[in-house]
Amino acid sequence: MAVSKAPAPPAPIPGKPPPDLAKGTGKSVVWLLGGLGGFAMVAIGLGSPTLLVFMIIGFAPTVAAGLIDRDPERHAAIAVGAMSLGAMIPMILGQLTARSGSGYSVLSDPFAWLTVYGAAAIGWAVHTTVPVIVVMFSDMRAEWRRRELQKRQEELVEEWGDEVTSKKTPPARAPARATSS
Amino acid sequence: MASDAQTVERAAKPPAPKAAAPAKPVSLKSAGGRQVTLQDRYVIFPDRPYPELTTAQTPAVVAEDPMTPGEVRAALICHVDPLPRIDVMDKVKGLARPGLTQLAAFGAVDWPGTDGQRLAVIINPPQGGRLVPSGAVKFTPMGADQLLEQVVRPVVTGLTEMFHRNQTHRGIRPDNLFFGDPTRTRIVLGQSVTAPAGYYQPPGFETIECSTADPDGKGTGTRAEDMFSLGATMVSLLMGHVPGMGLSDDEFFAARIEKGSLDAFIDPREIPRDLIDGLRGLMADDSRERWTLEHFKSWLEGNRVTAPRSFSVARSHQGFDFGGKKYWSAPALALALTRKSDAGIKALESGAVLDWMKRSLPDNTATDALTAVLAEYEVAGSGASDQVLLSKASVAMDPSAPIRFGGFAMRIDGIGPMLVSGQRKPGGVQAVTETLKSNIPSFWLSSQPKHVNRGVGLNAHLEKLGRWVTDTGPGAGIERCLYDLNPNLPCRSPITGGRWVSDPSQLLPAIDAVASAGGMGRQPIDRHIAAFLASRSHADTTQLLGLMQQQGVDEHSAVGTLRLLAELQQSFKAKPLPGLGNWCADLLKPVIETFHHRKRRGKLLEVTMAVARSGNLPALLKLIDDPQFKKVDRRGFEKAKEEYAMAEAELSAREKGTARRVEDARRAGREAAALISSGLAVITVGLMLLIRWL
Repeated sequence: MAVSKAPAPPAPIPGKPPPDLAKGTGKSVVWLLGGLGGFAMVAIGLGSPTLLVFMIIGFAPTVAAGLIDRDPERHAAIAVGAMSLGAMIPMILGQLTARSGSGYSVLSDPFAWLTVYGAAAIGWAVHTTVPVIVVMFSDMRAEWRRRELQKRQEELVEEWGDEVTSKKTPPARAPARATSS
Repeated sequence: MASDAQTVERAAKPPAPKAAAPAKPVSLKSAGGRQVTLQDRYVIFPDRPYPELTTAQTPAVVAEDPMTPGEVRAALICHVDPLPRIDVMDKVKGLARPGLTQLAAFGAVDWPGTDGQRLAVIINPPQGGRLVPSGAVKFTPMGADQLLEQVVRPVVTGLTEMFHRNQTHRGIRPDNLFFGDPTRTRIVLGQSVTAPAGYYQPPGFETIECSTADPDGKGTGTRAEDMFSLGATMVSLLMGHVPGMGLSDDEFFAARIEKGSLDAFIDPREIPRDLIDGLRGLMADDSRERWTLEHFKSWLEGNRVTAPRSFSVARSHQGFDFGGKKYWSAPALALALTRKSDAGIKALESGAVLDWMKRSLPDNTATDALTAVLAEYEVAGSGASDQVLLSKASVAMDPSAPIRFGGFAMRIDGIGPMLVSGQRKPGGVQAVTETLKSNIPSFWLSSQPKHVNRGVGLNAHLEKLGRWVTDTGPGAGIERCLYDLNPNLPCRSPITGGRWVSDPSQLLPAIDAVASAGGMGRQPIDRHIAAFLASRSHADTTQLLGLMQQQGVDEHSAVGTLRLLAELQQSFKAKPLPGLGNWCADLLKPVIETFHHRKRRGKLLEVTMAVARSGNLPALLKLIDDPQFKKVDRRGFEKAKEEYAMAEAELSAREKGTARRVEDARRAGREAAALISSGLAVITVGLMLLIRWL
């Protein structure tokens, strides 16, 4: 009786890199944050058009970052958006908790705009600086390893001679002839 | 042929009508010049010849024994060729008996004016000079009584001593008899140890069997040969000339064959009645009938001893014409055929010789033997050698004669010395080589009558010689035969620097001295040393093979050389050999270079040089040929290579993956930036809320 086998997993296509799981995760984060932001904007906008306008204008740098970022995971948008959101939340809470007769409007508060755009600028700065620093550290680590390996090779040559560099194994010596009496 | 040369020599010398004049006394007063010391005792004066004892091949010089100041000694200076009889020297050394020249000592000495050593034989020289001049063919005859009393009795005493030590003299002839005392009353036998047995004996003083052999090829012989020589000496002294004077060697040989030696020497009617029986007893041509020393002594004492009757020879009733002469016996014709080999081969091939033998000889033994030889030759066809045919035919026609080949003639026990002298004679080595290759000695042996002592294991030995001579490997070849047939022959290798190396234990010190003087080449072992060691120390021939590669010295041969030398040093408990050690260390440098670990290699080289300087070859071998050390080095090297290769691969991979790594880092940086921004936002919100609500 023939036994049916489970289908084998598809073989990797030569030359094609394996799917990047991190890429999927990044997209999820974008959608999650976007979703949350959208939900917040809708929720707040239904109650206060001022806040809706504030948030639309406040997220403008985020949208811009998302548009210019070629990274499919849109890390720039995340960095700028997270900072913008972080700056907007206190402002929104301030608008929501302001007394009705005070006439305060966050739209006309320069400090609010400075804070929001300042935060967006910091988010952008973080997005541009941190990768450079990480690459720099990666380069340093690679250089250290290269030097370490080269030093070890030099030690081996010093200890065993140039023959140690040959890839071909020298022919094995024949055993010494037995002495017969 | 040497025998011809001797004939010419004898004929050229003017006859000495009188007995030799008393020797001019040699004193030590004027002894001076260079000195050579033997065995830290005997002082030899190379510039003071001792003419009385000098022979063509062996110079004699004055020597002194400080233990007996004022007494003159003579040093006989021997080279390898002719080969001295060292075995006899060993047996008679120090023997001081009436009738014999005392041999006091012998040993190798560095000889001035040569590039090496010579064997010096110290004797107490007879004080009264020779009985007859050296090489004289005519001299004053002696009376029977004088002969018996003055010559025969002392010689018999001397021979008794020699025979007692199981040695033969092989040099009994008138010009080798000396007056032992200045008053010339006591006769002593001269020495006969500086050349092969019978070397200086003219044919007349040798038995028929030995008489046609070359001087080097007469073989050790037996007591019977000495007894014959004594008889011939007696006849010679009675006649006042050497036997066969006026005849060529071949004519004299033919006469002896046809009449018997005694009758060919002298008309028996001229022999004093008192001596006739004694001479017939001593000079019987059939060795079975010849008197022994005991017979002769008994006869001397006046007892009646039966003397053999006349010699019977297979004389044909019809002669054979060859080379313008007529031959009446197969032995005489056999000799003539080999003398003129081209004509001899033609006569054999044409069947004329066989026809004559069938027709004319009463005895069919030789005829049947020759028939078999010719039949074998025909079967072999064109591949057969004419010289082999001639040689075998000679044996068939005269089995008692020496083996004759290519103009050389040797007794079966004379092949060894013949091979030594053959080194300097054109065609000499080839003649012996071909003789052995063609198994002629075995053929000779099988042709001998049953009463002839064939020696235990002689056939097996001959087979071995035949095998060696065709083997070109080290430890074999003609060199192996040379050392095997001459147990006392010193090693002839130039590597020994001309030193007298007759024992493997002497080989290492000799090579050490040469090495110390910087005279060693790259190749430590040549064919002579290989054969010498194989013959004298049973060295492993496979090992020797590695040592004789002419194309440089590789690791194996270098270690093999050291192993062999170390074994020899250990076996013979040789003293430290620093010269050889240093030489080995140089040889081993490439071996040390094969060790990979640099520090250990440097240390090994350092220790090797130190051990080499100490001259301890076994220790050097142990150091170099340590399998554990080699194994550790090999494994370490393999691991190091692997590690190096892995590092190389990682470096290469890193080089190739730089762009990818940077991209990864950048992406990680972007992710990190997103996380940092998010974290900062959360912290900011948290702080502001905290400030607002608190």
